[in-house]
Amino acid sequence: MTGFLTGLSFTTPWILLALLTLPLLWWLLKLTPPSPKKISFPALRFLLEIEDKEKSSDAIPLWLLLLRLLLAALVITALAGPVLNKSKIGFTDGPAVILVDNGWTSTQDWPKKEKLVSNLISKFKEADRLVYVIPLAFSEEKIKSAFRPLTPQEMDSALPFLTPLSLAPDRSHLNRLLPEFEKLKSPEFFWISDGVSINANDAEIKAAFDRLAKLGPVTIYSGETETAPHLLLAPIVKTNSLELTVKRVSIQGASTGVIFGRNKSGKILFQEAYTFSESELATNTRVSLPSAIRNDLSLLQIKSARSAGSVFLMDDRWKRKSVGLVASSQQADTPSLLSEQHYLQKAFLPFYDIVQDDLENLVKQSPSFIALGDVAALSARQSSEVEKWVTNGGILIRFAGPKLSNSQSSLLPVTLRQGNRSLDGAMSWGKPASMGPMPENSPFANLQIDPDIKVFRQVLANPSTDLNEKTWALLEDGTPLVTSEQRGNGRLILFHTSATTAWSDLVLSGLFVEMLREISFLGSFSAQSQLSEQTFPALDLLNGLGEFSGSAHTHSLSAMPTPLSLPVDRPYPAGIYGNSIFRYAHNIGDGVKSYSNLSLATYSGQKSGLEEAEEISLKAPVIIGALLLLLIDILATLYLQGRLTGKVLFAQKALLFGLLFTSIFAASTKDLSAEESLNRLLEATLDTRLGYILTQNPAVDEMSKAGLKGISEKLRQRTSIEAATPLPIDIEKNELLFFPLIYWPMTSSFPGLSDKAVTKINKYLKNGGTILFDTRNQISPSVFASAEGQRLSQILDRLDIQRLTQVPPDHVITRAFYLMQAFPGRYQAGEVWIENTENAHGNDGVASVIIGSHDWAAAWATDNAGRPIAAVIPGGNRQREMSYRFGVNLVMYTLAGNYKADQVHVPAILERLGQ
Amino acid sequence: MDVSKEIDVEYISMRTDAEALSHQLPALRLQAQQLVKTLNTGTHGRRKAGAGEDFWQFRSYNTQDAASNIDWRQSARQDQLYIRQQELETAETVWFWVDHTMNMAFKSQKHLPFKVEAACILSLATGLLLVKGGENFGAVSKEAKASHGPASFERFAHEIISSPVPFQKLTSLLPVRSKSRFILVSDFLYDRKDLETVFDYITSLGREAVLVHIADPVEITFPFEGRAEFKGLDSSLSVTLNKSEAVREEYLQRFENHRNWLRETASRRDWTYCFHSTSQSAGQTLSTIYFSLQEEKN
Repeated sequence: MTGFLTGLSFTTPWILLALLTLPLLWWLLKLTPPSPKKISFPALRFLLEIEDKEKSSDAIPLWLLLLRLLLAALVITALAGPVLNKSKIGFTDGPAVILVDNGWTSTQDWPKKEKLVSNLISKFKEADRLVYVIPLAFSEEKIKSAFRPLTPQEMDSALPFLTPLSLAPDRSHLNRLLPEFEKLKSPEFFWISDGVSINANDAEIKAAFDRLAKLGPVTIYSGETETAPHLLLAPIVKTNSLELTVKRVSIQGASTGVIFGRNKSGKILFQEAYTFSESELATNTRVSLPSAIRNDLSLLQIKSARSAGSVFLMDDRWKRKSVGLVASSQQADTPSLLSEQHYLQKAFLPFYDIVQDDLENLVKQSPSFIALGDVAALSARQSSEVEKWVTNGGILIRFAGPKLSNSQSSLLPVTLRQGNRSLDGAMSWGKPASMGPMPENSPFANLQIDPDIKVFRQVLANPSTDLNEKTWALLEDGTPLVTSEQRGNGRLILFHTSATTAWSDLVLSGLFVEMLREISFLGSFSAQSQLSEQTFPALDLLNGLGEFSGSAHTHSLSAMPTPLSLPVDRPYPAGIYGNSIFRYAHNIGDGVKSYSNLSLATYSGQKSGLEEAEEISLKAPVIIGALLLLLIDILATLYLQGRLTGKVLFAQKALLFGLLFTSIFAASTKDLSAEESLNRLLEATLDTRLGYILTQNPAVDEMSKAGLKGISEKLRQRTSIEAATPLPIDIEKNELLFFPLIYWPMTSSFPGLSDKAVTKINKYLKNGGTILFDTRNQISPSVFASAEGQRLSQILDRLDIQRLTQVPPDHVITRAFYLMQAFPGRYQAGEVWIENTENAHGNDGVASVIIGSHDWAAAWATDNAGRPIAAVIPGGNRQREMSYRFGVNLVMYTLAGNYKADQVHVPAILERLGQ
Repeated sequence: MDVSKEIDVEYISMRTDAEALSHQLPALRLQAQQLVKTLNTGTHGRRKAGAGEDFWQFRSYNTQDAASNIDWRQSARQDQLYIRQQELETAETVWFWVDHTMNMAFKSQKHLPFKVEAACILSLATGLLLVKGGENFGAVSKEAKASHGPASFERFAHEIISSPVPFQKLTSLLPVRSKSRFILVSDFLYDRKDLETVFDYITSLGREAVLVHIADPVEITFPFEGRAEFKGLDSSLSVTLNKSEAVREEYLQRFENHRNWLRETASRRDWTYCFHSTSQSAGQTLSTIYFSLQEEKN
């Protein structure tokens, strides 16, 4: 009940003041009792005698009085325009600023949010208010800087920039916009919030919104935080398994989910359930995977979570590299804790598959990496073979030791001094050295240095000019610990200390493993490309829903010191970046440090749910109520007059109920959706017909109808195609399958398609149907930049369509019936795009989609007398004739397929037949 | 405003009403004739020779007869003397008065006749019966003239219907000739004083009267319920009752009192009183009236 009352409001509340007159009405009603029925009566003289005794009380009965007061109150209430769930917008008349959290956390309720935004916009448009829509997640500088109201055209069409991105919303953007907001006169703010804070300070966000609240009223729309997506963090690779971590935003009892691992083609390789217990914010699960399968993994995904945060892309880094571990020449009885082999195996195991063999055999197998322990000298033959392998792209990792320190080898990144340097010993004043800071050009630059690591002995490099460049890790005294040199396509890496604990603690530390991991990334991309290319272009980006959008080449990552240290606050959408050699997967899970609820309740401003309850005008019901009361009042008066008896009573009751039911029906009747009728199905199937999509714009629909009627007429006249009257198609309701060609005029306000409709269209296209999209807007400068074009591309995004090309000059459509190279409609020139069917099989090579902006229907359209309806531009009978010819060709093409394409061979065939 | 003027107004309205009524004369007559047909009077009037004006029969001359009675013209045609006999003419005349006040122009339901209609029908039917019986009868009017025979019925009918006489004027208009009787058809909704005055006047003339009390069913039963305003027909007075049913008992009591009073007054004066509800068959009342005339006669 309270919910009902809070939802109740009035359009003109001041009328309710009239309720104050009710006491007056009370008094008046008490003064004037209901009028009695009038009866002529001859024997009045007797009544006159009686009257003195039977004093007629003029008082109106209390219940009737109350009834009438209620009636009056209802009428007043009805006049005040009661509205249930009236959307509470309109604190001010000033500009409306709609802030939208369109990050990956906003995706669960996205359709609702989209609807909410468009509802808000259309309401503001009605109220002639300026509307600013500000997406809080953005990747492009220009959106960041653009602060302008929507144009009327934009208000009508869907907002292309308002899509969920695979980015976290940047609420600090508000602070930057604050000066702009201050310029607005009495602005009003609407924040469509996802209620989640990522890597951000709650207090700062709150402060930003508090500042907004000072400028104007703030309304916060938010959904249930429970719907925030589960966040998939970077998996931790274990020997034969992956450890997966999933985070959630708040503690909301137990919940479960399933993680899929997919390969490149989308095949599910594993499926693993995870469970949050009551109070867990993060949970782990472990999936056992043979390394071969793990190498195939291309992405991890939480089942049915539509968010980029629930997707984790795996690039080459996650593939286990195989490292060749050269079998030691040491005797087998060496205790394992003294053996290089032992430490290297342990250190390589998390990130590498280890192959142990002779150096020669290993080189033959040509793994990405070969780890070479402390060896004295390689034979010349071995040396040259290894050299060749390195030049081809192999990476040799060497470790120093007593043997190396006393030998010479060309397979070293730097020239070494003879002997080793001992930092610790009876004869030394020195102390074991810790590690110094990592040089900036090192792949280890972002690794955390462990101060406990002590190095006792090392081999020293001869100073040279390029030593600094080659150095990847240093001791605190500046002597190199790890050096590396590019050699051909490959690389030599030397650890200047031993792979055992004899010379240092390094092999005991986690840092060693991490260093090896970093090295593993080198295995498939060359430092050269890293140096030459300062940016990684985006190859394929995820949208906020965790789907590859395939259309984001505008994004690129600039100047990346190393992929892993990509700053998380930088607005780079998640996805695959890189080039053909190196693919770098940027994941949301990498950058999220904190993932928590915003306590929206503490924010100033009005809170509102996402789903605005439908605005219900109570005026009609209240008036009906008043009418019913009036009826009751009439009956009551009749009763008071004693006229309600027997039949009359029954008749009036019947009347009352009749009225009641009619009023209820009148209130509740909505149009019944037209179902696909049998008649229509028969009509569509018994004759060959063209179809056109209804756009909800009567003028466009009328033109489509006339146009298709016109071209059908021409088809009957000129070809053997007996095209019957075209049928309109409601894309959501009607079946498409019967029509060889469907004409789809695109309007900027074309409603979004339901999933069902998309499935239906895809099925139609797959089964050989053809849709002619017509944006009808060649007057506007660019076909695809126009509002219609954007709407079209939004719709096409959801359809399964091959690549489009401009109609090539030798395309079948240029000679399916008439020979023609241009395809004029109402407009003469312009591009016609057609699905590229060169390599396609099936459908007889008929393109399923043809797109143009020529407004063909208008050119074809004829009135009932056969006269054209619309003028062609620039004009002339020839243009109209050519447009008819295009129509004929098109229908011929869709019906006859590439049969006409074969006609080019006719001369040859005839010749072969000996004619 | 004096009373006479008020009466004049009333008189005019009565007259218009009566004129409207007279348009229905043929219908009323027909109804009256129908009514009479249903009534087998059982006596055949005074169909015998006597002192009268109309020819009755020729009879053979007897020696007792006066020579002056011989109808010579008739006798000359045959070879026998005839005497022309006149029909017996009774000296007693029946005078009709039908109340035409607005109160009489009332009917509570569509299928019922107006009270005045019922009164006229009863009067006309009685008149027809009297025609059959060869009685003298007439309507009380300014030029009151009684006659008998079918021809006079026309005039009588016309006067009954279209020449209303107010009740108060009866004292001045009643014919003072001997051997007359009065049939007063009314609802008698007058003050008792007025009624007494008229009745006393008739008694003082040494005449007898038949009081035919006409009433509508609603006047008899008072079936009203609920809040109602009762308006008089002859005046602007009205009574508003919140609960009509509450006064029913009392009303019925008063109406019964009125009836009883009329009945007693009639019997005291040795008059006949008969009550007629417009919803009841007129035949009953008609026979009552007619036989009361007969009885008195014999």
